[in-house]
Amino acid sequence: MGGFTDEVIVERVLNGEIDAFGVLVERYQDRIYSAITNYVGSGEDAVDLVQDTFVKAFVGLKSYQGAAAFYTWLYRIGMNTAIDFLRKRPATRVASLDDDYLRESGYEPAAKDPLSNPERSVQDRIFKEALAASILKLSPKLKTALVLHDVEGLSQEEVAQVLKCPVGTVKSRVSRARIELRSMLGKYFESGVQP
Amino acid sequence: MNCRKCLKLVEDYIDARIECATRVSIEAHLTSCDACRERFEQTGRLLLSLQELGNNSASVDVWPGVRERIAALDPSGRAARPRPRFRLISVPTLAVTVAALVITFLATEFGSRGPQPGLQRPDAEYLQYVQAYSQFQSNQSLDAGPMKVVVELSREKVWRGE
Repeated sequence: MGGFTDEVIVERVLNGEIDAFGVLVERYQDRIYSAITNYVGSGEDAVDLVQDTFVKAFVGLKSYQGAAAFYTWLYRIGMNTAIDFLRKRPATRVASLDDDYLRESGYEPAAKDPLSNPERSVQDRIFKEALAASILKLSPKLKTALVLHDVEGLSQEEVAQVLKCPVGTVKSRVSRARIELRSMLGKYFESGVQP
Repeated sequence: MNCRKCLKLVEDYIDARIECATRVSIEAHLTSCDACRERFEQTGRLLLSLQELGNNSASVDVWPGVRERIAALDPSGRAARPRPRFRLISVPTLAVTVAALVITFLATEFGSRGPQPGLQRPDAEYLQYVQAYSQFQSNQSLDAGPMKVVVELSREKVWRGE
């Protein structure tokens, strides 16, 4: 069943083949996990939220009418789940550069070869940790647009489908998010700490 | 192409959303402008790092957990949670209802007793009494039939509510 399209699998699930839903879970769990991890800043929380996302998707499968691609519909559920999670969580936790969720979530730095340039690997890691912490400080609207477009690689049109807003709005939010990130990370560019 | 125009097109250039001719103009400008080139490089590095953040993968397979939760759903698709067939009444509501019933009962049972204000409309017994008394006035005999009626009636409560 791995070669079937999402719509075909959805049809089979709606006809009672619950295990067919597992194919969709396997197909998209990493992408949803990545988006949610970068949104909430915790890999551990993200696992639970990914489960919540797929359960909600299963329950609401009848409402998926196929107007948009299945994965954009799934992303929407995932991002809403992540947004609700942060909204309900006490706003006491502030992302800091000491947060190690990159390691917890299994992230590996690009340069694995210790002989290449250890110092550059360290600088790369420092910058990425600062970047991840800065993303958490963005407003929900900017963060969602940036994570979906620049981190997950969705096109502006796809992000517009997920967020149900005009493409121009997506473009504007992504641009503003990038400007804010560059402002927050200015010292890393000035000091020469570069990825 | 000047710096102002060039910086406005940074995003579109990196997202590959500009025409070929414009791209050529930008690249020509970048060869001679250090400030714009630095801005382009910073934005490019930022986007490359953001892309690399998207390489996260779930270290566990979430399907078993999802499968278990789906199996726990009731046939309507909602989470299996027992629901009472009737709605339970809360304790405060029940207390108020009982108190209202008690008050109504007491008002019905005892509220009609006691003297009513205003004149009583004479009932049949009272008329008998008056008639008997007037005859008594004329007969002056306690044993007379009408007086017997008076005595008997006097023992009864004529007035309603007493």
